[in-house]
Amino acid sequence: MDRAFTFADQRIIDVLTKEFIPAVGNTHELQNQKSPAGSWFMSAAQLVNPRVLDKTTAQGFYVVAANGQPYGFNNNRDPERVLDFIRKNGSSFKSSPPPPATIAESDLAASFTRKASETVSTLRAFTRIKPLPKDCDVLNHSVGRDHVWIYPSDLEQVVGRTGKFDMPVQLATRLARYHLVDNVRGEPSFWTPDEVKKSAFQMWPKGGGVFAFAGTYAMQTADKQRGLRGTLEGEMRITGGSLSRFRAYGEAKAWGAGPYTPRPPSGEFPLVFAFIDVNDEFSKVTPPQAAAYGDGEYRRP
Amino acid sequence: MLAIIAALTLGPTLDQKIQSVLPTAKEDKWLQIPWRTSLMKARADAQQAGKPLFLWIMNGSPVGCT
Repeated sequence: MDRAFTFADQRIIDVLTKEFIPAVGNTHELQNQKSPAGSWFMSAAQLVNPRVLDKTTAQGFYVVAANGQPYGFNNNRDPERVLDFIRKNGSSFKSSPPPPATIAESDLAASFTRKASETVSTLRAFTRIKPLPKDCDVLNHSVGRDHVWIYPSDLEQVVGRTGKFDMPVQLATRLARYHLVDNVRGEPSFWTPDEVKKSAFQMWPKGGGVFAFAGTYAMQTADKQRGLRGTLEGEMRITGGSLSRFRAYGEAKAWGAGPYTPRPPSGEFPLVFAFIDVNDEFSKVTPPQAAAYGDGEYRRP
Repeated sequence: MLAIIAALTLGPTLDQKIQSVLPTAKEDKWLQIPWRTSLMKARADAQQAGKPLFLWIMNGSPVGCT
């Protein structure tokens, strides 16, 4: 929501680019896991965000000096209010500059996120509601994003296969539980093993190291208040044992809200998915949401 | 002509379907901002530039999740 609503405003883009050092962070890493970045951020955040002292989420926007001196906190997304927040606290920084910071080399080099190993391939997943039902809440206009990790063990079970065969079960289950989710309006609730009623994907070779796949899936909570069912089709190319290309598209009917995905369209609504291979900076330092605390169960769901 | 007939009879290709889900240029405008992903390196940049940090902190990385 912030991406398209707040940070698409040209005035905000200009002021952040020229007058600030903009940075992103994930509360799951900064607030709940130990690192120099987390310690530094939490020390600053608790001085301006009362929710941090209550041990609730630290999410929001902050203006902070390099030495950790905070100038302000805001958790409102309205572009006018965000712009006012940025300008006001930027002025405070200029009129009351902080003393220099001491940043240890060890802090600069310290890990701050769970990176994939060199052998893991990363996909970027996009989700959107399309077509948008009439009069649905503006939250539903967003694009959901996440990363997907594909492991060498997934590929080893595909290479050399002939005829039609089932997608390796760990890959199929990982897609179903963690990536065929409604994350359009916020953090999704991942499907539990019991909630996945069906994830049946067949694969077949097309030549040149390319394997196509297609199948269907169905998920539903025990109370039937939230669910999703649909189709997925795609292709992956494996070159020298590594994933060199991945493309997939899915269509589903979804229903219901999760704890952090409020205000869905009423009844069933159309959800579409796209998965593409990526190898950019963001993909290297941003694990799948479901692997934020480790990839044990994510890898072998 | 064959391509038009194929498009009319076979429907959109896989790549066309995927393209219909991907963010538009307007939806990706936030990427014009040079977001840093390492807070420690961002601190060093801020110190060197004499600028304040603007932090966008979310439950789930803003550049990767939700």
